[in-house]
Amino acid sequence: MTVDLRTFVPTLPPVTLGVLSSKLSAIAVEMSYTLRRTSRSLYVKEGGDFSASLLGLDGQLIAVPEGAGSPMFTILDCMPAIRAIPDLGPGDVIITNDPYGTEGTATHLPDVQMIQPYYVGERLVGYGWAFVHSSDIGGRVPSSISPFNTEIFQDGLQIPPLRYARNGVVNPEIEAIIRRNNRTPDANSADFRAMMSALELGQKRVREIVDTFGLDAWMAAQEDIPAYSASRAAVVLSTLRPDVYRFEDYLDNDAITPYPVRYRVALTVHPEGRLTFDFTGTDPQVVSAFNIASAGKPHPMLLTRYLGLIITLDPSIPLNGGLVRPVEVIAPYGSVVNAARPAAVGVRHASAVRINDMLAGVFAAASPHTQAAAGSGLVVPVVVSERHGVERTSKVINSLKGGFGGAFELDGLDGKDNGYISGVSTPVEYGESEIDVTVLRYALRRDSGGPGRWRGGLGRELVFRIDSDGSNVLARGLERFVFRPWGVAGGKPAAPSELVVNEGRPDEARYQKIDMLELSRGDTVTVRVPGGGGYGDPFLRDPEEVLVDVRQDLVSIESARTDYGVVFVAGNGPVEIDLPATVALRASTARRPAELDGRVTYDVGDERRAWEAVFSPAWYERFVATLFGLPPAERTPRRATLFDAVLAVLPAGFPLPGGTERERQDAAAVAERLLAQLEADLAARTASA
Amino acid sequence: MGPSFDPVVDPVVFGALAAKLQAVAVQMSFALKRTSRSLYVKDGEDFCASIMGLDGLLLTAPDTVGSTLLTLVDATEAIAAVPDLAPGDVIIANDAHTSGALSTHLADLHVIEPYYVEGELVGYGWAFVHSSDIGGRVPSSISPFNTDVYQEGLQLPPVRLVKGGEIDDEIEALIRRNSRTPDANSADIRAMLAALRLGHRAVTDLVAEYGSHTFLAAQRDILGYSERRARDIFTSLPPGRHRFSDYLDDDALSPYPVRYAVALEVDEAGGLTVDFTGTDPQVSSAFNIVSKGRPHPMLTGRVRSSLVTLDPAFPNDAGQVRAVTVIAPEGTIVNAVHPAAVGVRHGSAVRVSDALGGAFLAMAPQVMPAAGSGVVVPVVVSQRRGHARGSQVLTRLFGGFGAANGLDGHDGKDNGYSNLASSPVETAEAELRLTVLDYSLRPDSGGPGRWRGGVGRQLTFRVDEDGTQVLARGLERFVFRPWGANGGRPGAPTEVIVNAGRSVEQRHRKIDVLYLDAGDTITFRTPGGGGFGDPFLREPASVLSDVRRGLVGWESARRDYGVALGGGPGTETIDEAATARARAGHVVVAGGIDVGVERRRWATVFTEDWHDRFAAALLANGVGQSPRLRDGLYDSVFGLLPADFPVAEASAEQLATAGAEAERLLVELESRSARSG
Repeated sequence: MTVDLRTFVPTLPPVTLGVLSSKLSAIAVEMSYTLRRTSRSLYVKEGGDFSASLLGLDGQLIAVPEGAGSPMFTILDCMPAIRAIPDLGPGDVIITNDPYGTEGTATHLPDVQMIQPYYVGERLVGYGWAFVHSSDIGGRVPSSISPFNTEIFQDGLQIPPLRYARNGVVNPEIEAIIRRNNRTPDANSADFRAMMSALELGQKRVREIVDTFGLDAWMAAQEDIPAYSASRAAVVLSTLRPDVYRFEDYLDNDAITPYPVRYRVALTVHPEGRLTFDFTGTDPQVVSAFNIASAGKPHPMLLTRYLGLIITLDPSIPLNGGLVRPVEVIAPYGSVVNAARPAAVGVRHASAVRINDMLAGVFAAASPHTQAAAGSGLVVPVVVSERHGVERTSKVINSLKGGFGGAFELDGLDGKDNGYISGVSTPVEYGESEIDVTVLRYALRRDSGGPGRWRGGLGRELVFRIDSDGSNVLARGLERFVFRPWGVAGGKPAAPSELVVNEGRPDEARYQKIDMLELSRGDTVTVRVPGGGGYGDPFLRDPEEVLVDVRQDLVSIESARTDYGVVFVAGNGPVEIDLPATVALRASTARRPAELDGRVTYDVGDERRAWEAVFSPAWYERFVATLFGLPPAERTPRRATLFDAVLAVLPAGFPLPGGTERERQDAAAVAERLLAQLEADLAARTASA
Repeated sequence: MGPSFDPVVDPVVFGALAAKLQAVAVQMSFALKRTSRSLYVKDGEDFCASIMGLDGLLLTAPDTVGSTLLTLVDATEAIAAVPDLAPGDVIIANDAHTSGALSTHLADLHVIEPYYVEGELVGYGWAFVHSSDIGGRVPSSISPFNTDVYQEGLQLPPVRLVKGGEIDDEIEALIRRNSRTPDANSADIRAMLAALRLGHRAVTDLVAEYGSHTFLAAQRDILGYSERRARDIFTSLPPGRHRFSDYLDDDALSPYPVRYAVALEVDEAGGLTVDFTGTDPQVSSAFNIVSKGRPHPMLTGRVRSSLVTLDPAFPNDAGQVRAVTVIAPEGTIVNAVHPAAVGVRHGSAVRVSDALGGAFLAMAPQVMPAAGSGVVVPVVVSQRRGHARGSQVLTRLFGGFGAANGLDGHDGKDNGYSNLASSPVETAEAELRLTVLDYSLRPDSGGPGRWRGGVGRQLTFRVDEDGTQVLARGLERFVFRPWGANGGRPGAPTEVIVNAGRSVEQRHRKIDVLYLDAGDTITFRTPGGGGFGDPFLREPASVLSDVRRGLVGWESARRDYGVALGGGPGTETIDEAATARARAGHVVVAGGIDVGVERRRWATVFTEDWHDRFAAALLANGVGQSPRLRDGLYDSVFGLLPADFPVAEASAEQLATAGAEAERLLVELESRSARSG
């Protein structure tokens, strides 16, 4: 029998609780600023890809540094990393980046985590925690992360939980090994020291709190603060309509094999404000680096959008690990959302982004009018690796994001995604001064937002020229070349991604996902990321708003006409609306309903409709169940064999060319026949076993 | 004359101590072998354990077990890198750059323990194993296609794995977590520690028996004696500068050959200078050797074996390095700088050995052999096990030994790198899902000669599981053959064929990772060694015997040896009359080296002198630029030559045009480097 989280009786007087809760947040902010100011790498200083905070004795965050660093790890569980080191003492600092060895405390190898036990006198009273995304942690490629890695051994140095420092003194041998195994040892060492400064500051502040409020108050606060947040979360979650909501979303492919990767969730909204996220039906883990080592727990990489929901519904809720309490997760072992060692995990955020999109889909149904359409669904750090003598350095020019999804009564933000709010844009000048490139254009991308009564935010486009020979460009996280950010309630999907080298020149080359582009001086790279999906019927958008978009060059005249039903008259001056033509056009066009059977509708785009015409959700459910019946070693090859056979009867590049209805029907028949055969094989095998 | 050798220790005691130290090394190595777990160690003999003196050089090497390849290691820098070494500490290292090139690629884990007896440091125990996997991009960690050392696995600078007798759990955890075979590695590391303990006990006993003063003095005498003996041997060689070069077909990433040039010269003190000037710059792939420019096992291993050839009783310790001076310009492939990938450094070492062999041959033509096969190919198979992959060496392939004056080459065993053992086929078949269809000597692969080059091997196996990965680093000699000497001819080049004889047959050269499915077969054929002396002078009876044993075919007997045969299979006889006719009028070839038609073609365009200048110009432009400049120049010249030159023939006109273009581009590069310099 589960307790009702909503009924919460604090141990501390409310005023003390309020004061302590604010103080802890302030300490987390102070720790994070300390880390940021003393760090050296661009990821930390300019990218915001770091955090520092306080943990309770249960290894959960009791505060989140709002406004400094990444809030994504609010529900991180640090206990496995702590438990791995017996006999911790004052001044010890645990270091780890090992996703499998810490049941997901670390999420990929560049994120180096540090944990310091905090003492008051002899008594252990809590922990400090910090992480930075280091510039490089070794492995196959500079900057360590590539979708094309096939095992975690290619992702870089794996640091199981170890004591980086004992009693305040760094272990020189551990430090020497870590330095030796990354391409940016000085920046990393500086970042590690920055984390230790932040942790030491946290220890000092915790002592001050205990001095001021007493040890009992501090210990009680660790209990009360998360319980308070849990109760407030449960209260808002109990406003959702109890039911089971299902949705799925796709990665275009896993970068190594050409088949889409499918994420599936069934969200059960229980009375009393509890949620179960069941990821059963999600594809098996992939051979590339898109896997999430969640250990099957309610994990930050699976539930970022859940945090977004809570914050949307209760904007002033204190953020801390208590928010995980209303949530249960089911994530089958060996799936892309609960990968088994040694799956590569470098680009786990690309999966996390798609899971965000998918959760947005179920939330849109469970909490009407509060949720946006799909955001751009990608985060693309564009990295340039340059040769300096025999060494290579790699630096991020910028982290590209696309548009926010449109929402009820709200256009999507332009050039900013709702999936991944962490990670700020790096000033172009920083990139240009650190890297031998010239940024030719960095702008919003016209017509990339999904049309809607409330338009999806626009994506960005970045064009830069390489100014030295032998430079390589990496852009992990590229996605949505095929399956677009979907629209909601009559809103339409956004434009897909584009990656072009030397656009407009005779040697122009178009790419989708890349490992590493080897470029020469003078080459240009153009990256265009999608906008967000639209919300509501675009033919209901106020023509005056369309006019503003057109005048700002966010929407073209052609798109205004075909997507919004708004007709313009071109003259010598600024464009003007042709009202009669607009009214006539809008009246004569058939449109998509906002709701069907009381549930919100989605417009997933032609590509996904074509894909699902062949591989229907019902078919896929059986397919994944059958794959999981097979031994792990057989899943990937059997999956590939089946897809190959079905795709063979479809046009090359399907579903980008969607084929004819007849072709799709034939392919669906092949898919059904092969799946039935696979099911029969499995049944025979199970019977004989 | 060089430094005089004045032994301090009584000759009887000296002899006894030297012999006992060797026995200790053998004991240590057997202890290591028996307690290890991985097949590299147990079956491959890719390990060693021995005793070092206070100056970090080996006092002896085990002669009957393990690898003798690393007799010339120098642990001085690795020891100096760890301050405050105390009794019971053990250093571990696998990083060439920070260990003074003690370890030469990451897969080799080295350990060193200071040996204290009653508080006095009297020497060091040392051991290494080739671990099954130390992480990195590919299973088994080694691939020619790696482009920096970060791709090759966990780099361990010299750190204390054991402190005061206790293993540091955290360092061990770090090592385990970064390997695909953590249990085998831990077992092998513990096997090394057991060997070190055994060595420590034995050294303690020796010191108790002879006293530390004598034990330390004997260290100086042992090394001094072999230095003296080396100088005496070098002095007996003819004076002057003797130069030779040899090539890798390519560096696996770019299609162009890599050249190793070496010059030998003996000075008045009997010191041997080994000068690698003219050798190509370090490459983008994993063929680089980090040697720190010293007499290093990977550079002067052939000097060591040549000393033994010239003096079979030559002592087995590292004293000889003091009689050898190496000149290896920094940034060349034989003295590479960080972060060069080094995994397949033995691919280079084998070719360095061949180059040295050619130079020694010029100095001692009656003793030194023709080129051996010049390949060492560990064939590694990786198959899925649950969510992970397991990988294992199926076997190590070698080719034939080069023939020498009066001696046919050994079959299926190389003179370059003969330290490793073959793994039993049955072990591999038991542990991997595959079936070995053929593992035999390869007919007609030995270089024809009055004394025939040893034949290579051929291995064909069928994969019995989908998604099997096959790796075979060290594949080489597809283009440039093992050369013959004194009228002897080169050995046959390497072949790798997937599904040989089937419609889907595919021929490969260097491979990174081949993905095979159940039913696919793969065939490896390694080269034979070069022949020695004109094959038309070979005794017809010897040719007949080769034919009967299936080592030489009828056609080759006729064409290459001028021996005509009669009879049928198994009952061949010599057709004396036809043989006499075939051999009549043959002009005997004597002296010189036959490098094969491919290398002759190559040298028409790119002469030795051109290559020396090219290497100098590339180095002058900076190591970072050299792969690009090198490839750019070759790209231009190759545009004027037929595809697959020099395997493919080119017309005289093409050769001349290409040669002129090569010269023009080189002059351009030289002026550019003069400007930037």
